[in-house]
Amino acid sequence: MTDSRAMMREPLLHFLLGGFGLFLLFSLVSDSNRVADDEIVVSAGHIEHMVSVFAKTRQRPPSSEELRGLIDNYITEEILYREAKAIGLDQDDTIVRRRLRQKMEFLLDDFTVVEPSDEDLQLFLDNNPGRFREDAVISFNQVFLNEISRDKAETLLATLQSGAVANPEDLSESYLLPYRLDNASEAAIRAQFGDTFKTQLFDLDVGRWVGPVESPFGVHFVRIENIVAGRVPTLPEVRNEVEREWLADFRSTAQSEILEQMKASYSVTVEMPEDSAQ
Amino acid sequence: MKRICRLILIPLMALLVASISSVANAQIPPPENAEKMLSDAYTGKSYSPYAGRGFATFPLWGDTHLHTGNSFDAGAFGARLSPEDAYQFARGDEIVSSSGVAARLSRPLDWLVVADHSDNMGFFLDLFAGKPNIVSDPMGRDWYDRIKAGKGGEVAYEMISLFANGKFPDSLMYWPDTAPYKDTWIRTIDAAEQYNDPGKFTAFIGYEWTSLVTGNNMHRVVVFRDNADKASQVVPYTTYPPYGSPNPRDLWKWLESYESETGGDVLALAHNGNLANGIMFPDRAQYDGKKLDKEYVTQRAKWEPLYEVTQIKGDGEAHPFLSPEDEFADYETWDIGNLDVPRSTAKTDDMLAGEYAREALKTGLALEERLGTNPYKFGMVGSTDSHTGLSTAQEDNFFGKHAGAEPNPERMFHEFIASDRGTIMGWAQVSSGLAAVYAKDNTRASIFDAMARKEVYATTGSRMMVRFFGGWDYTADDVSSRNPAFAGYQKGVPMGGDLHANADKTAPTFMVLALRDPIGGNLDRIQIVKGWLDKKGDTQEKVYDVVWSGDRVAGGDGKVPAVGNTVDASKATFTNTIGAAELGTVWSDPDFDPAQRSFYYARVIEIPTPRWSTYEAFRFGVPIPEGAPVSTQERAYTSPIWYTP
Repeated sequence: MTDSRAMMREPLLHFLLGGFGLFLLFSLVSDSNRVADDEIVVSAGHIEHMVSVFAKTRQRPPSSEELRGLIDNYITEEILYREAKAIGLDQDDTIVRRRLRQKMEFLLDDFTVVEPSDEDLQLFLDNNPGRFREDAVISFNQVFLNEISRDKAETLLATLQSGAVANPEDLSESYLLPYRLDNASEAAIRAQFGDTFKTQLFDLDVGRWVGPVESPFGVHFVRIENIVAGRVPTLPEVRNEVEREWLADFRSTAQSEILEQMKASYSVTVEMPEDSAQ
Repeated sequence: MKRICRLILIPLMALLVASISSVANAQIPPPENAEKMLSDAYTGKSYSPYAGRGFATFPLWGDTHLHTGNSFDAGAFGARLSPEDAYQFARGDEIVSSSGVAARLSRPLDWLVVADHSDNMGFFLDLFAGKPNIVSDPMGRDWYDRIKAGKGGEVAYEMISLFANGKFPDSLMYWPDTAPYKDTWIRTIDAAEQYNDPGKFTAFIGYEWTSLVTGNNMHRVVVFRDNADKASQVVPYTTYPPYGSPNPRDLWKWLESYESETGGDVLALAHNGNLANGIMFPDRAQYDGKKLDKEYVTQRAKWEPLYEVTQIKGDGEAHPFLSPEDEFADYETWDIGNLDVPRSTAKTDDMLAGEYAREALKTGLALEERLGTNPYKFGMVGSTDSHTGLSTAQEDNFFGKHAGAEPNPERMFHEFIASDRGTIMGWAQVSSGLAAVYAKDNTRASIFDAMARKEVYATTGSRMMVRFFGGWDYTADDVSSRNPAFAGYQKGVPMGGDLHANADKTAPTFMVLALRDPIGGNLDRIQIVKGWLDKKGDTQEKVYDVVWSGDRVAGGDGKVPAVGNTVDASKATFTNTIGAAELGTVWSDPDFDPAQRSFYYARVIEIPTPRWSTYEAFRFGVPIPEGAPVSTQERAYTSPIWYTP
């Protein structure tokens, strides 16, 4: 999977170019239109755009008559649009407001695509070690019992510790819980035995029979052979993952930050009606 | 763009060809015999039998079938989550659902297939964004305006209905050769590549081929074993002519050509026969009147090793009309009509045989006798088919079918689908299911290969561990041996395998074991479901209770009485004071006839626990809806083991 970075970058590049493209398009379109308040210019670029939209839908270019119609229609639309805006018809219209909000959100989406530097990634890894930490792994033997009294538990533990039982696995009362697990990760133990058992298990003494430890299934006597401690990998080992997580985080925080910044330039007053005040 | 992709991918492809091209086809032949299998699986013949074992200790849990906002219907219902979000959620992250509810799984999934509809892939997000190519069309404009006015659900049903009846407007269709369609596919692949963490979490590349003939469901999910280098050489196959086709035979051709052109591996699995009005598992002729022939049966067997037997839109293992003797057959049954309920032909009894998995397994035996190949020799998985980007199948953490049905106090009481054919209320959605896979490694290749050899089982959402083996000499000692799986693989075949007549003509033995979900209910019983083809050529079935909790005694009809019920509806709780944490036994077929084709699969039943609607009623302080069962008995269905004389 060493090449996945290259593959990941490539679509990012497209996003990035797409974002700038969108921006350029917007500025072009606005340039051609906003010459002066009382002047309407239908630029060649805009006509080409209309033609291509038409062709996409009808699978053919418009006839000259149809093109004339498209242009006339656009001019009408532009005039009515400006007049409507001039008398404030856009102000309280839910559809217009939602559409504009959405356009802004799309823009933010496009502007929050960036390539992190190595320093960014290292910092991210340092600040979020838990998200990349490799689980500790454990190898152990266990004797499982459905239930056991305190007296019996002490006797059994003593027997196991004395080594008098040749095949401790024969004492186990489970079919499917294995007598031995090799190199099982914390996640695997949690998934199979539950979180409480996992937490207890990794704190037990190594190299001798201990127990009983409770799980949702019953009680376990355990002899841990070894535990390989978990560790936080270095950046080169998990660069792809860190980059992926960095980007996902960046996008959501950047967007809310931009929003917060915008918010800062407004003074917001909420006038709660009396009866719905808390 | 394609060129750039390829250039970058060349080194990767070379690597991959060297490492994984050993499997040339989705169909991995079963081992020649059990001993051969043992030599592969039981490699630990040295001092420690546990070192280097060749089989999985625990199953890997996943979902083969999840939709995101890229599916046009999911989007219309309000799904805004992307494939990236879906993978994040599945691996255990907390995210915010489309309707603004914080969501997290109790335990991560091990793997996930994002399977968005291929037809119109990406259409909705563009419609939502008001792209000019869509809103310049009068119908597109109308949809757009209504969605913006908050009527997305209404638009969704309208689009689905047009689509289901082949009337989706040509001018709006996102054909597979268009740029937005290809872009969506590439973005989908990118998401899977990003979140695929071999060894930790597997993100499969996939899609759904959504064949609907006048609303009759023949959907298939397509799963790729491959990475982006191969999957990005194609765009998903669609159902609308001229680019696609609703005929499964054409999908199989597409799969064939994908494999031969790229050297890749794919498989397909169908779902929701219960909404097919009889055409999911044809017996004589397929939906278009074309007779089943050698080609149909061999191709279906080749490309469709699995069937999705349980999901949100109904459980499809058995139907009480087909299995009147089976007191557990009527489980979360949806049998009003087809997928397009308002316009559907009402369901009639004669349609049911072409819809349910158990019946299909039986029909398959007859077809094998007649045409030489069993087209319905499938393993069974469960999946969600959720359209929210959230794979949720646990009763107390269920986010519903689509974004409009995410948790809120009203969702159970809304009509989910309303028509004069009948009404499906919100509460009738099923919080189901999951796919368990016995794969040794958590990688695309390992999981896919286990799917291809059918070493998988379905559950309705609970994570009970189930082992099922068939062979000739299992004994009670094998069950209580230190690791029954050793004996299991040593003396026979696991779920999904085949048995052939042995010299003594004795009955086969089956070893079956189950361990409850660590956070779920105890087990009530394990059953073995047998289907066979009798001397007259008719198919038969019988359900055997083989091991159960407590000291219950089977009645004269062989049936074990109900386990009881500890569910307290007022608090939405249950206790594990009945049932057993673990059950296991060896069972031999008392009615075995060595001359008859047959199959056997295990069904594991949990004790009653609160149904999602009961949790919901408790949480939101609303009544349990009229008609909704208070409790549910979660279950697992293993892939069958087939006996062929």
